[in-house]
Amino acid sequence: MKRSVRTLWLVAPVLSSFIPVLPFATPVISAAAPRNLPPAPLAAGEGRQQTVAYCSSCHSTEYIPMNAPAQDAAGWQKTVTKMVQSYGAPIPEQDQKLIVNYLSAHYSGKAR
Amino acid sequence: MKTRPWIRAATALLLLSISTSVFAADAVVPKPKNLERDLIRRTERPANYETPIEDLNSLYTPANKLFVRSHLPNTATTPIEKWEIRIEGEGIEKPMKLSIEQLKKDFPAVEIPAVVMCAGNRRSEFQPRVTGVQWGKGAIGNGLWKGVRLKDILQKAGVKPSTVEVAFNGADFPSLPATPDFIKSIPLTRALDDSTLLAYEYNGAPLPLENGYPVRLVIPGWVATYWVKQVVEIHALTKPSDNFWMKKAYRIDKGKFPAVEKGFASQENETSAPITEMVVNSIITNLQDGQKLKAGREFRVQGFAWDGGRGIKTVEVSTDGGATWTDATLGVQPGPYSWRQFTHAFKPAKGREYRILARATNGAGQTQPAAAVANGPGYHNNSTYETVAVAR
Repeated sequence: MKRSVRTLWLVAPVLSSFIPVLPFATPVISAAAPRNLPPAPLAAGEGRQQTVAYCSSCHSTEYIPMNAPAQDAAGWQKTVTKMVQSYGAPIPEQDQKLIVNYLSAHYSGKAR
Repeated sequence: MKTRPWIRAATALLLLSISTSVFAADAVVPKPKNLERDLIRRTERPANYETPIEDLNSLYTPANKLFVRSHLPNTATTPIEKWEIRIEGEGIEKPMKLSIEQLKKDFPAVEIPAVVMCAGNRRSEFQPRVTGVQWGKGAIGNGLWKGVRLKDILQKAGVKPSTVEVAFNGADFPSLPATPDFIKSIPLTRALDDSTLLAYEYNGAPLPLENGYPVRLVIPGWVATYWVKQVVEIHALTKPSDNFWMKKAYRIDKGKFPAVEKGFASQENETSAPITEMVVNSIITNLQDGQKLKAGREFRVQGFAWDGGRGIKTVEVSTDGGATWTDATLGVQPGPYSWRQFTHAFKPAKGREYRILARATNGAGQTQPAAAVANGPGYHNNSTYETVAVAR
């Protein structure tokens, strides 16, 4: 099985060149280990729009689900404050609240 | 949906022109690594990618497989012939500017094998979990760093004895003007150490763009937060730096890691000290949890061990969950800062479950604890860990 996976790798760029409409989509999700899946979109909900807009001006939103297992409402409050005070994120106070509420509601995975 | 032939032809031409422009740029800036293909993504921007452990199974980690850690989202793409390193500050008598060519021509070259490791390697294994980039075991690599001694440059620039710290700034830059630039400083004593380099090569080739091209700081034995990439500014300070990245980040609580809580007095305060040396640690590279072993056929556990520069004295391996330990066979230690490979062969018996661990001890007699020392930022995880394999 390993060998066939390797072969697929060799031919994948050749195959993808015949699909000019999808040149970027094919090699990323390859059969070779490790598999990097495209980042999952953030959960729907109030505050999502502000979260995506402000957070992605400096970093990909993968940081959010990545840190969920270590976070709860108090943790997200600390994080957002740090982003504003230490890293200079220009987020108006009202939007900070929206973002903290959104993150707390959807990405609080910390064990209690 | 069918694509018209002329659209295909046009797209192919477009792709071709994109790829040729990438190759044309090769002369000045190296081609980017294929991060998505070769490494495990933790975050795409800033780029944080780790090495799959099976690719750490060689003495020196290939450049394309070397992990990438970035603090700021933007990498500089200044052509190498225009690169300039400024050596200045209150602690410098003769401020200088150095091109990469001068760096290579005017100072003797030195090559040192050394481990580069993110302070947060193995952070995701902390229980309870802690925030930060959730690294597995692959934010580490070992390779040959070639460059010039920082000492030689500082002495040429007339570093004054009143210098306390030397600060380094890279050409990488934040997305917002208000974000603190990534600047790190080291004590003068470490700056003048023979092993501290401004390196321009990794494993005999120019540094990869994502690993600090064209020149980065290399501080063997110390965690990689100080290994500033794309160096453009070397600043001799007569007072301790009060930069965010020194005062607020990369610090450890006093008393938690006595073996390595030293070497940087000017940045210590009552409760915390900056992280410096790496603690003794080891990783097994050819086992995944749940792996099937062939019963009756010899299996060779492979891995590597490292520390902050005392060198690895022994590595023991246990196949019974830590009840009994056997000395592993050690590979070469090409220098005190390189990792040392080890192997341990055993013959698995049919149907038996093996709980396999490794435990390294360094030249100072320091060894790995059974449980990680809890700390807020999740640094220095050097606990022994178990991988379960079944023979059948």
